[in-house]
Amino acid sequence: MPRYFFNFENSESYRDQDGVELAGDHDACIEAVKFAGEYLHSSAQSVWDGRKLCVEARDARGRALVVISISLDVAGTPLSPRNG
Amino acid sequence: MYTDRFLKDKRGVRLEPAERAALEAAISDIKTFPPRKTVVFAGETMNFSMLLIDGLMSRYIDDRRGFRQLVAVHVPGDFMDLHGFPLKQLDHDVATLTASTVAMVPHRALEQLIEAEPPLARKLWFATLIDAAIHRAWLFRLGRLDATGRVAHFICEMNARLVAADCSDGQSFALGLTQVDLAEICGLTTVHVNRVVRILREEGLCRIQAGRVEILDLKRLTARAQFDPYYLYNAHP
Repeated sequence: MPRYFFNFENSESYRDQDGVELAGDHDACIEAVKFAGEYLHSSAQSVWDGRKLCVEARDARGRALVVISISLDVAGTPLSPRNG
Repeated sequence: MYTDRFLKDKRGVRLEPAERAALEAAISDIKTFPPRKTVVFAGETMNFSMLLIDGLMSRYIDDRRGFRQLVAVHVPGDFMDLHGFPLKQLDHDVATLTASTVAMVPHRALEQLIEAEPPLARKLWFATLIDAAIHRAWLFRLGRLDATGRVAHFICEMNARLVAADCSDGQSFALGLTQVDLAEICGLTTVHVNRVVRILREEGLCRIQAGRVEILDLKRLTARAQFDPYYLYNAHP
């Protein structure tokens, strides 16, 4: 099965070095969405601190299949240029 | 004896030598299974129960798309499907994770055993209650713990159970599970398991690699896992 790599960023930057074997491109995209959901649940404080979560799935050639961007727009606090 | 590890050093129950010998005599045969093999299917009528002698086995339920949730993992000394004796049919499948050796105990023999030694019924009942306590702990793990906590909790539990079964020295042990297995136990994507395994290693808690676990800092791993071994009912936790 092809290998896919899932990188993400919020208040930390994580580069997937091992990758995961999945059936194909579509499965990798679905997995990225699920992972984003799990990460939001598991690391809410981290997402809050960084005011965003960005998850990308890449294939073994480095081609980006999907980028999932979630940004937090906290009431009364405009997004700073760092987050924009 | 094959039954040596069953209910060994448990809090609140003790198998007398005569009871243990009688249980041993009730074993009809010893079977070995290859890895990744389903040995009992949900809905099958059960006529025997299996005592795990060596290896790791699981109980699982697949969803309609074939995605798996493990509902239990069994270690040597576990009488895996004792509940099949009263229930007669299981609501889940039973499979090997690693190659396993199992002692088969016919239900007919269990019935005769209980007639001959009535207090044994309550002790067998106790064994199924420990299984139930472990299921509750798994519910807590899946419902309340974050991704890293879930994997840490499972590792702490496996360590405690394998130490009690003399299959771990408390610092490093064989755990023939893949990251896919951990995902199916902890209700996570394999992507997340991969990240958690890296976190646990980088934070100096444990190393999970190539079918082995090395505990780097049990105290901090236990805290990260919010793990309390009380639900295993071991006499020496």
